[in-house]
Amino acid sequence: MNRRRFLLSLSICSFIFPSIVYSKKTFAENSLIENNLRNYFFSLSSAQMIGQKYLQSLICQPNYYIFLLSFLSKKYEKPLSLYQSNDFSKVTSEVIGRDFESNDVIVIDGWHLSSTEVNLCALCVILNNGII
Amino acid sequence: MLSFAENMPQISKINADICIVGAGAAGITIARELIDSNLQVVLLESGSFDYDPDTQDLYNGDNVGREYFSLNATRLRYFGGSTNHWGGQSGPLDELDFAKRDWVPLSGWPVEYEELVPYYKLAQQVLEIEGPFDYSTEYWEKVIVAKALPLDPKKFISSVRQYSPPTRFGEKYRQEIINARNVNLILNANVLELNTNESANIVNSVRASSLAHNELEVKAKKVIIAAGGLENPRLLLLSNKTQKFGLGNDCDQVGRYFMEHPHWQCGKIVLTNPELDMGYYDGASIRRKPGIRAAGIIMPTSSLQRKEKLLNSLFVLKPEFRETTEDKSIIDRFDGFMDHLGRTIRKKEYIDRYTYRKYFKNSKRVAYITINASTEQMPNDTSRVRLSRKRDGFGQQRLELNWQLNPADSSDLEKTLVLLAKDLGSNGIGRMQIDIKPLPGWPGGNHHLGTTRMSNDSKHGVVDSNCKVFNTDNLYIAGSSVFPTGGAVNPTFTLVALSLRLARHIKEKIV
Repeated sequence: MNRRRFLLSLSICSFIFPSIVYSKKTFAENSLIENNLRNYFFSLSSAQMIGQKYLQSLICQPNYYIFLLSFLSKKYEKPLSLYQSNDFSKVTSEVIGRDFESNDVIVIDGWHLSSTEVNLCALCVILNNGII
Repeated sequence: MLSFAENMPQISKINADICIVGAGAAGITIARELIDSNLQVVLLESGSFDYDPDTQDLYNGDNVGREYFSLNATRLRYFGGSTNHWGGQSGPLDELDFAKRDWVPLSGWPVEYEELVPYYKLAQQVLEIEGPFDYSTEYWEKVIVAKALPLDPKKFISSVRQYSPPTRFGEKYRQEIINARNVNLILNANVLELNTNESANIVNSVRASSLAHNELEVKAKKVIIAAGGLENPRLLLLSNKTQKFGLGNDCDQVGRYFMEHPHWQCGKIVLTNPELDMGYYDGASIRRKPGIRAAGIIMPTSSLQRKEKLLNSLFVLKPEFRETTEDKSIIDRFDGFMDHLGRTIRKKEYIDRYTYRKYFKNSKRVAYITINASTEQMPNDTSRVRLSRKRDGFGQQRLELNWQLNPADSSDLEKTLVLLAKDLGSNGIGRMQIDIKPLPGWPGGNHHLGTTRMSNDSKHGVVDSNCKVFNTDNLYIAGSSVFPTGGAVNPTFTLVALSLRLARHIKEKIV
């Protein structure tokens, strides 16, 4: 990437994620979340593809990361970073099952997905791209 | 007894107790049922024992509505009828298919499911279906030795379609019909019209002719038209000497309500566990295993149809297996083997999936599952057949088909698929992509339903619960044209059951 493109990318990122700031604490939390997500989705690239599509529909949200965490905090009993990997998979399956039962579904490219898993996919994109 | 109209005198007159028009699944079934009776039966068939292009041409007509098969190709006009090319998929209609449903206009058969069950059981024998009259998941899981998907049993059921070999009626029952002392099979006899008395309530005779114009007049106590879902209404409409608009057509019902089982591509399912055994649904594999002639299907339960006010539907799942690098090298070796045998089939996609899985056990991972549907069509009086201005070799008006769908026919499918996607997700089975398109090359199943529908009154139908044409004393209709609604399963099984019932009714009526 040349200097010009790098600066351009940086300015786009700062425009899209204006309020996300790095700190040691959030970095550690995010690693835990990312680790959990990696274990949950057996194909991370597919999850990211879904996440990318979903993020495109959130274009009017001022802060994706906060939006996603806020959404997910309503679905889980405790913050995502506090779950052990095995627990996270088990609890997530249950949450997703409840989503489908209550018709809390998001359709992406015709795929009928639970709102929780779509938001997790989007979180995956943000964490994996290291843009926070 | 066997005769050929083209070898008969220029004008022949024949008397019989029963005259059956058409020797397909319905006509042959009725004739066979009457063999042990004291009735003299004449069975008239337009074709011979083999396909003849000149005879088949009499089936030509025009499609003026929704895209459909050529009317010349969607049925066969020789002894055995369309059983000469059917696929053999069989299953009974559901109990709810017979019921009055307030969300399906003109639904409700004058016959109840329970009344048809004994005939369904007999139809299993006629169609040489090896399995019992049991279409439950529990039974077939044991036979196939594979589990059905753990869907919510209140919403979706994994039933099966059983397979007839398929029975070619023209071959299987030929000798029996020819040897019957009381059945006179007359081939090359093209029925042109039904002659009635002045008030058109009694059919006096059936007029037929060979292509060489040997004329034939059959006088019978009872006449049964069993010429197929398109030709049955055509014959009624062509018989218009005493009734200007055709026989049984006082209320303009003949030819209306043409229904098919629209076929659709619905999308894909990705399994949460790609190692899950999909053997229950893998028809291509099952049919090659000795003793198992059935394949799993998914259908919405009656309670779900009632609750959501849905038309019936049937889903066929086709697993596509994951190709790993190791699999790929095996495929290459398999190709070499095929080369050695001088076979031309080399590409992976042409290798039969059962053979592939049989020899290469490591290829069990399901990449995805394609899902296709066959759906019930809502009765629609604008979907119809009528006589066209074009004429056939006898100068008779040809047929014009205007097949139309209601918006509900596709929107109900979408609703059902959304519910299925939800069920797959909530039970942790997988995720579904819904992408509904008509199945390329297969707009329907070559199923011609509803054109002389059964009803409790002549305002909404052509025949009564005994398949007798309203306001006539001796004219009956057999075949899928009498179905008031079509359900989602293939119709041959039900039409054979109804034909057995009609034969029994005729025997009781005459004796």
